Amino acid sequence: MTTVADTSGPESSIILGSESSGSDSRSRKKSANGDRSAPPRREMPPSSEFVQEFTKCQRRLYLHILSQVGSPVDAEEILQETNVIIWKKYQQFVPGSHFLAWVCQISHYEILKHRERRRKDRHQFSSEFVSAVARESRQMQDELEHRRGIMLECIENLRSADRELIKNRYATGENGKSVAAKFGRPVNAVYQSLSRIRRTLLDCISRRIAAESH
Amino acid sequence: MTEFNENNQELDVLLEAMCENNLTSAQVARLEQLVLGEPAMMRRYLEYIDLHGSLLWDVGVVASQYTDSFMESISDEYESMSSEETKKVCSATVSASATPHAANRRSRHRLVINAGIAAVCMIGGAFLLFNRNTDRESALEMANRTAIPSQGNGASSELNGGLPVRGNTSRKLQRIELDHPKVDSASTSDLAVNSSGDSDDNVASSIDGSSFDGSALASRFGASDQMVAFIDDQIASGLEGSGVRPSEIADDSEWLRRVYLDIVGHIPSSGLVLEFLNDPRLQREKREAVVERLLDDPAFVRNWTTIWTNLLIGRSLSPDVDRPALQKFLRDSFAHNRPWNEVVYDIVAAEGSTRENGAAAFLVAHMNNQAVPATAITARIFLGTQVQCTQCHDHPFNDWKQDQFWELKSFFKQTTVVRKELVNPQTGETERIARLQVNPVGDPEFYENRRGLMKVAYPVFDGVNVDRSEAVNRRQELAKLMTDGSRPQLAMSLVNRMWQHFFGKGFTSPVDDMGPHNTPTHPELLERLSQEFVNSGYDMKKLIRWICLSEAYQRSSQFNDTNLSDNPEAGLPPMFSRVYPKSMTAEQLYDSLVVATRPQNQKRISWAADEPLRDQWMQQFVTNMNTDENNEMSNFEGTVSLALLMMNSEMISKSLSLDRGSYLSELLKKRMTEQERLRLLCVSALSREPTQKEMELWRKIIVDRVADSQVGDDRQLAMAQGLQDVFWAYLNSNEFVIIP
Repeated sequence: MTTVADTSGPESSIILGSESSGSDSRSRKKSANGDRSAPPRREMPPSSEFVQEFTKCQRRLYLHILSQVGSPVDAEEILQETNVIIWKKYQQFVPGSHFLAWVCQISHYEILKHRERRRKDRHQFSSEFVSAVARESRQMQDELEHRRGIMLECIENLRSADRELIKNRYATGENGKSVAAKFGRPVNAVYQSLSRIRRTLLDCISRRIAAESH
Repeated sequence: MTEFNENNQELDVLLEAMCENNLTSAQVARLEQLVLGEPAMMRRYLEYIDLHGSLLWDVGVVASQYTDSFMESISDEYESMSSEETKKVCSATVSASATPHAANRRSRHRLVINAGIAAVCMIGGAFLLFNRNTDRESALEMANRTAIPSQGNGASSELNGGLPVRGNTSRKLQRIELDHPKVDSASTSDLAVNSSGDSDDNVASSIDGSSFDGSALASRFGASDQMVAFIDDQIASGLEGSGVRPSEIADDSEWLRRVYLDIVGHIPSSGLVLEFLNDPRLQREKREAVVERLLDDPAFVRNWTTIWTNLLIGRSLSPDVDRPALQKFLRDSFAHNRPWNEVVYDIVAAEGSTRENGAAAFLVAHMNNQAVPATAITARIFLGTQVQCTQCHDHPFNDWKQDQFWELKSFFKQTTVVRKELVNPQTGETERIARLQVNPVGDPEFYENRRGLMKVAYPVFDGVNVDRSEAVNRRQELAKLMTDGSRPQLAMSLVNRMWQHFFGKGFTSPVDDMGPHNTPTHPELLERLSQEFVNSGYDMKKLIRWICLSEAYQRSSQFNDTNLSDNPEAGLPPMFSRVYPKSMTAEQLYDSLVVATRPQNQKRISWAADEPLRDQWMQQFVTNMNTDENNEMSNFEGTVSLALLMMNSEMISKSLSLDRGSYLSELLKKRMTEQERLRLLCVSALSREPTQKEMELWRKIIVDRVADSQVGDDRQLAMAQGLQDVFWAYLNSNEFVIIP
């Protein structure tokens, strides 16, 4: 975290996020941290390293956001908003520093903004919960990444019918209900199957990790 | 510890609801309480939501191949792009972003990235502007404007479909090859599956409240043969953890009717049914005996000849197709149980006139339209692969490329069909005889690709280049490559087809469209069966024996209360927890009517004399489409025309005749009670005992008939007419045309 330039100044990040005040914020920031506001590489387009890091971080970033908001649709929205900010501020990223940490920090403010907009939604998590999850999610990042790799193997080992169900359920725009309708099965039965498969996958992952550590 | 477990379960329930977006606000509060209360719960929460999200990301994001390759090519360019090029690419991407791309509906996540890439393009472009002393802020604004439309998650985001992305890095991370499960070699695959399956299934079955002990049932049926046991193991392990229990073992009537129709193509006669039902031997023993007997029955040869004639040349009779010749060839092949690869070799490599060599009739029938049908049908029937669309373009779903179609087609390049008028020495009449002639030419195939370029294709099969010289008989080479046993496709295709024949569903659907785009439901089983089939010397009868003696094949087609979901008709992949009912083919119906209405005293049926009659009878169901692909349509199974035909046809009325020597008149002559007669009618038509309800209904019908009649001869006739009504009802029932 300390390697990343902007994480300590939340205000500047938030203000940069709003489109209309872009020039304002820049000038304000210039006055605040004049020493690094106008580095020579501002003239350069994003390096290929940056583009690569950006693409690589997308999924993890999405999952990080999802764990804090719970809803995939909201998580996607926030991800997109975060991406806009990342691209605006690319010149503030210090090459060699922790890219993911940097973008997670940016997403933090986007999540706050999102929550502010939705503050009347009673299904929203409490801020206490969100910050606790955010902290834990950052700490477990590497482990979760590892688990995801194993998940791919575990999916291959599912029975083909289960794999098919998962594939249908998680295709874009689908949910348990729509899959149930598609297959002409009772919704509850599909929910049950999905629960079972998800648990199977979690167990498979845990077991394989336990086996690895032996 | 138990409290922890309880909480754990409660958390799981809440998480399930959360994944399906069903959490109430009270549940949200409870979820928070649990997660914040205990580090282990927090961990579970994160693992769970991470899995959910990964699945959403990984599965939902799979974009069409087209987009991928497009993106890849663009991103490669991007790598080495100078600023001038940046401008070009950016303008290209902006225009692409204005085109809605229906195929890319799925790549929503990618759009997020796309927005970013659009932004980088715009920024890159902005630098060009900047260098020309344009205001940089306006460029940034433009970047925003391009990015913002994709923030909406509705239709507007789809507009960005074709934008480039860094395909290489992102794709490796994102893709799950769900369509390509790893199929290990046959020997290790089941181990691999089991090792990961065991404890999963314990969890699953304890939750679903049911478990299936496959081994106990398997031993009850005494799976002596290794392959039979393997089949049942595989089917059982497919059911594990699904909460589905296999259907009960079918009763003897259901099973006997099925095995007769499947192996010999007609129903068992009433005498054989009663004999089987009263056979005191163990169920397993007597069923094994039936399978053995049917495999040696002459009707076995006739049935499989019919099946393969229809597959190879269709049902329509055409003067240009020498149907009898092919039938004779197939009859000989099945009568001697010739190895399947040899049969295929003879058909693919056939030469000479159809009169001398019946195997030639297949290609003679399909050499029209510059051998395009011959190429496509050879691949579809023998290799289970659909290549017809690759004639004009690369296959959209499988690995076949356009050049492969033409490479396969070039094997037929040396072949022409020559037709001559010849005098038949037996009848003295002139007949048009076709012969397959092999011309020593070494030409390749020429074709046009999508871009209009002329391309050339030499004979190549499965990556093996064949000598192009004119001295080499290309079809012989093709036949060798297809059948030498080193390539599994010929065996896989046949096994899949046979499995469908017996179980009603194949491992893939349709059976003749196999490939990486169409994952088999039981890949290990399919592979092992195919391998063993090759090892057995392509022994068809052995394969049939394995399938028919498996416990899976002994099961009823009826659902039980746990396997309602095992219903391929509803589009679900078959689990083979039951045998799926099939409709009779027209030939099976014809032959079954013959058997059902055969007079008791007539011991033998002369099928040979019957064959031309049946072929003629068939024509009312078949419409030849006269297309270049030699398609035909058979409007038979379960149609109105079938129902009308059954109710009114000459054949049925003949079956119900009371004339001397007919089935019913013979039945009336016998000294037996009315009840006995009714019972026999049911056994003859449906291979089972009548139910109590049926018997009551029939008695009423006959009593009514008799009550209306005078004493004496009239009364006899009324009785007979009553029996006619009953028999008509049985023969026209749904049950009659369904293979249980």
